[in-house]
Amino acid sequence: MPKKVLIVDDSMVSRMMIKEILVSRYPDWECIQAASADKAIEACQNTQFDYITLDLNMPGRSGLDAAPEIISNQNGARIALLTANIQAATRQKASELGLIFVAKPINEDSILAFASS
Amino acid sequence: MSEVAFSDLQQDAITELVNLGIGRAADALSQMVSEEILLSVPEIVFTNARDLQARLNSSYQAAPAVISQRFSGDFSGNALLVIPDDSVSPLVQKMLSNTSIGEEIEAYTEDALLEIGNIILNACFGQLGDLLCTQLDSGLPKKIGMELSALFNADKTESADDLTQVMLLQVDFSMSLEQSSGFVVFIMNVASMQNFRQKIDSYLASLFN
Repeated sequence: MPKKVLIVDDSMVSRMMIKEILVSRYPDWECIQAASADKAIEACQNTQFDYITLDLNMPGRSGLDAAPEIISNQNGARIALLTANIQAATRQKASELGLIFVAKPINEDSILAFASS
Repeated sequence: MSEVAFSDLQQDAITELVNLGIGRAADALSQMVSEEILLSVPEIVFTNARDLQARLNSSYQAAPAVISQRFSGDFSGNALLVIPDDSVSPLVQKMLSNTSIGEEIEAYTEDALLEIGNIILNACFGQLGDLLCTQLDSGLPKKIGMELSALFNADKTESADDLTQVMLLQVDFSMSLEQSSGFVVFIMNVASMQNFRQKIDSYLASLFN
């Protein structure tokens, strides 16, 4: 069954790479992109997603700041925090919010592992 | 306030810690370009704003790409990634080689460079933060020009040379047949550099307890 994915990242290149990895494996999945946490929250108010990839460092609110609001609107969505900030403290915060931690750089293995979780 | 001095032992510990951070950065870069990256052990030099600017001005024939990212925590400052101009295009092309971007690659170069900077610099100071048992938050990466005075002026209250200290890591890296020499630079004011030295002392104390 086709899934809906929200890709949240201020980097256009990152959003595009994630989308291409997903669409090459799952051509019928719908990938929506958001370049900021606020735009992601807006998208979450209108649509239920199956998977959300959330960047940490973005202009405005960070992914971790926005996560509780996104989670409250998204029952059952699997949400990954994708970040280059690989410190233990960041992993811990992601875990406390129930987010799956995915270290950047983005690669096919980590994105497909998340998409099949 | 005068420059913070580091003993041989402290410098040795910093080299070891930074080497681990650079190793993680190499792994990240290798994943991005899908090939092995060979790196030299970083050569660490403590210097000042004026010397850093002079080195940048004299090291490259063409202006390199300079990506800056703020880090903050028990010690704070700016980290810079300096990529030689002739390495920019091969790096970005390899990073985007598995995407559908063809001839439009130039339009994506700046965005790709920012992401490369974000990943490499976070790998460096993230590893450093973990090993020194401190959390370092990072700001957004920015591409800046060769003129670094704005960065040096950010933390100062007097003259930049009096209050700003620079930890410069020169790293030679090679990718396939191409060989390059880049820099990772940590710029901190003297107060932050003192806190950094204290963290190094705590790390050394933990090794010998």
